[in-house]
Amino acid sequence: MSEENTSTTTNAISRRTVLKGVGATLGAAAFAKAIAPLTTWAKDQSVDEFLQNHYRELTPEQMKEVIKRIEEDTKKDYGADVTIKDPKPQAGVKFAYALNLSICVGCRKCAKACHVENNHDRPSGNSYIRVLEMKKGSLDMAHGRADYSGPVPKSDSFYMPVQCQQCDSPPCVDVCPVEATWKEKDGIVAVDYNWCIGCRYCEAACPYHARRFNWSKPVVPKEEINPVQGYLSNRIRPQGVMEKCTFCMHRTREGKLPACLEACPTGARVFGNILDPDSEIRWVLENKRVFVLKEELGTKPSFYYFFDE
Amino acid sequence: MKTSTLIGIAATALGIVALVAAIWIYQHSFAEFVRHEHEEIKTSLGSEAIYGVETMGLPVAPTVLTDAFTYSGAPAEVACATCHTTRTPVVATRQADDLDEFHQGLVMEHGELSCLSCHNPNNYDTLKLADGTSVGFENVMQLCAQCHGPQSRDYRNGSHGGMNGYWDLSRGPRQRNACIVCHDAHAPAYPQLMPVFPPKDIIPPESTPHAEH
Repeated sequence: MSEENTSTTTNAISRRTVLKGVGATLGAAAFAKAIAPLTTWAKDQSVDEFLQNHYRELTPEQMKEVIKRIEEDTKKDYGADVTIKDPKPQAGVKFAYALNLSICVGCRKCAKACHVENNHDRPSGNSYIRVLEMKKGSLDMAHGRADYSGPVPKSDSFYMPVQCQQCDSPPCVDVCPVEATWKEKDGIVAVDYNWCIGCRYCEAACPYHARRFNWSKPVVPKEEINPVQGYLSNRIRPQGVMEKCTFCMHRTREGKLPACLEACPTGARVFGNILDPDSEIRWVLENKRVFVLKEELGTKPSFYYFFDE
Repeated sequence: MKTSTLIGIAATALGIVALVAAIWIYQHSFAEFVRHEHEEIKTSLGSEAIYGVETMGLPVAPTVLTDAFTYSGAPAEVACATCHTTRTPVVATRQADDLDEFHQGLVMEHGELSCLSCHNPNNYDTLKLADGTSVGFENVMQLCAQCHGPQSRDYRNGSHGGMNGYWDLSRGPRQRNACIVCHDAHAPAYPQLMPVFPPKDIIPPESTPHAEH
């Protein structure tokens, strides 16, 4: 009796075996489905890129390789020959910006210059600068309009360009879950585009709406690409990462003025080293009645506004 | 060995493992990133400004194109004084309509000023300050500054008027606009202009069909 029983169980496929097989198949299918996004990921991201270290942990040799790789990728994707540099903060330099609201005419040339200088996505018309048309008598940013049309300046309005305020207590840096954004020694809040996970917490945290998200891979025609690029500033950003004004780090760390300042036809913008007592920016801070936006939030901006008396 | 002793040893071992793990996780996740110190660029603070600030667009003494030709065949240009040395200056003239020839049509909207507030009746190839001192066209900003003190002060301190180049004069030069690049001396109010680069909305337009609530 017992012998007969044993032979049946060994030769026939038992219910248990079938269930095991079904379970294993389902499991394998679920796993395949779960890792499916990785196959699309692999198309536009190399292993080197995936394994790349945080900006502040890269050795100079590694940085050289990373820059070489990005330059080659730009050539491949956009057909443009670009030079990416990684200028470092200068000792004894802390950048500050001031804007004279009495002479800003609202022409938006700064926003356009930013768009061109920083290799922004062409279809979305992205720019780090948003110029607000404000009714005289109010400083409430919420009542400013960015979609005004000409001719400007209108007699009942003044114009307030708003960009990253390079806060000394930046809320965007506090909320980043992966430390992909931080404050540099010269006061600039930088983003490591290769470390950012695109969660957009920083965008939500910024009281000045200064951060932008790359919804798509930036589209820039080859001939319009600015080939003078900085690793932390205007190199073409990957899709799905945050970006922001860097005070044109690739220019200002080389001693040049930012692109938005050069584009300003009225000279409403003042830029310089706040640690240099002879600088123009220091003269403004010492002689004009400057204010910062949303001072009550305690963000301590490095961006000042003033009116002529 | 008692069971309680075994549990004690196991708990201690577990505690040590947990501690080591915690330290390892802290060091690899939350500790300050180890900054690879790169060679800092030499500071510009206090270093000498080797480059200068150049003022762009300063005028030269104007000339008048005539119908005559020079020996080489080019249209002849003459200095203002060519005619004005023989004509008597009219101090009261305020509008270009009262003037002759090519001066006609010039828009003059500069406060209560008359022509000879700035033009020098003793030498039309120069300008004159309020006290009568002759000043060359290239020093016109000195003339502007007589009335527009605050603007001149702001300009001299870098907070009025467009500029290009370097903020750090130890690394490169800077170019600045003269007053008359933006302000026409005869009608100096900065004109209204059409803004460029209107912002685009990334939110889909209103016509996009919405789900019924």
